[in-house]
Amino acid sequence: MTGTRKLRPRAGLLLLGILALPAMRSMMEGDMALHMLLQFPLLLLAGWLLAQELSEQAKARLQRWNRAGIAGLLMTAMVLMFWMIPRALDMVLSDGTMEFWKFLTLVMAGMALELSWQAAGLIVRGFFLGNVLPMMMVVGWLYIEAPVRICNAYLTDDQLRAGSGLLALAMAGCAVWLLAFFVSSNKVENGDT
Amino acid sequence: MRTTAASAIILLLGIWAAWAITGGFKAITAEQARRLDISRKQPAVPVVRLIDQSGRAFRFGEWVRNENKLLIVDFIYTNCQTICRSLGTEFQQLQRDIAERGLQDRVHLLSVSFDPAHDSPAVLKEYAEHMQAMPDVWTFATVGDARELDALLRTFGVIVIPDRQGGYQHNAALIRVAPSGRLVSVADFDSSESLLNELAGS
Repeated sequence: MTGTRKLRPRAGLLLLGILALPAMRSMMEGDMALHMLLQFPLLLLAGWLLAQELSEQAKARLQRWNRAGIAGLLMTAMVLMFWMIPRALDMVLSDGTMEFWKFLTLVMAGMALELSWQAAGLIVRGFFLGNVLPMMMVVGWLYIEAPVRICNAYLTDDQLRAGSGLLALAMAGCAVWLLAFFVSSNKVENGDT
Repeated sequence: MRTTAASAIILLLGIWAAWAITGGFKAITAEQARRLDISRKQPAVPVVRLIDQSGRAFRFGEWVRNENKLLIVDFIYTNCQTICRSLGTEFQQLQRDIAERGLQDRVHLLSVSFDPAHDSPAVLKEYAEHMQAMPDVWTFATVGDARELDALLRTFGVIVIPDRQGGYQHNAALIRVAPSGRLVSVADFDSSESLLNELAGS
């Protein structure tokens, strides 16, 4: 247990380091689908892993500001929403400061997710997913249906792929959520009561 | 209590960030932001040298002021098969309207190529003939020095990216430049009819 505890934050740091390499950045950000559907989740994952470095004490202190994971999940939702705004996506490619903020906020969102998910109950999680997943679907649908290029920095084909990917990811998220819901409610029925 | 405070701060920060990036919830895309930005700031055309289809070189800003006409600008490359075609058709239509209403002295059309490597004055001349452009209404030009292209595209908010098939994708719109040499507004390429109506009426 102590082994994985130390290993995970290191893996997070390594992942972040790799993602921050200039060659890696230009490769992923050059393609809209890779940018949104691979780099974003990997940054969240890096944050998630890094958050496990925090001591129990620090976690307990943070938890006072984050009862039931409400503040943390709200932050994650806000960050995700922001980076799905087409203009924000465009600006990252032409503005180094924006790119720095993207890295920072997405990693922080991943950390917040780690620190909040366990504490969040069914209702808070439901509220979070009920916001984030439909938002992804709307943005995905917008990218697919838009008659014009929404991002000036990307090709129309890219936009179509990114849109379909977002839609698929959101639907997969819904399916997993539903499945998890049934599994957990089964457990309650069969075991704990 | 603390959670409520933290949540409120996060919510406010989130709303502020969204507000800032959308220019006050007016532009969710960079293209809308570009249009908003140009009509708000009305930047002057950059100091660049252009070369027209007859090979004549001129300073962009000076030329606009000397002509003393409202300029409608689009950006093209002559190898373009897609959107420049509709821009070309739009300009042909505009040219016809301008000539019919005798507005040559007040409006001028300018198509700027962002592909100076290929679109030499000779190529532009051929293209102009193909489009049946009237020289006193419609000028074709490109930059004299390819290094000045960036400044030009930046001011006009035009983003050009290679499309993997040897062509380019670019945001297309008609940009209006006032006789003072300032960019006034950006419009979609089907909204110029009303502009000509305005000019003819005034």
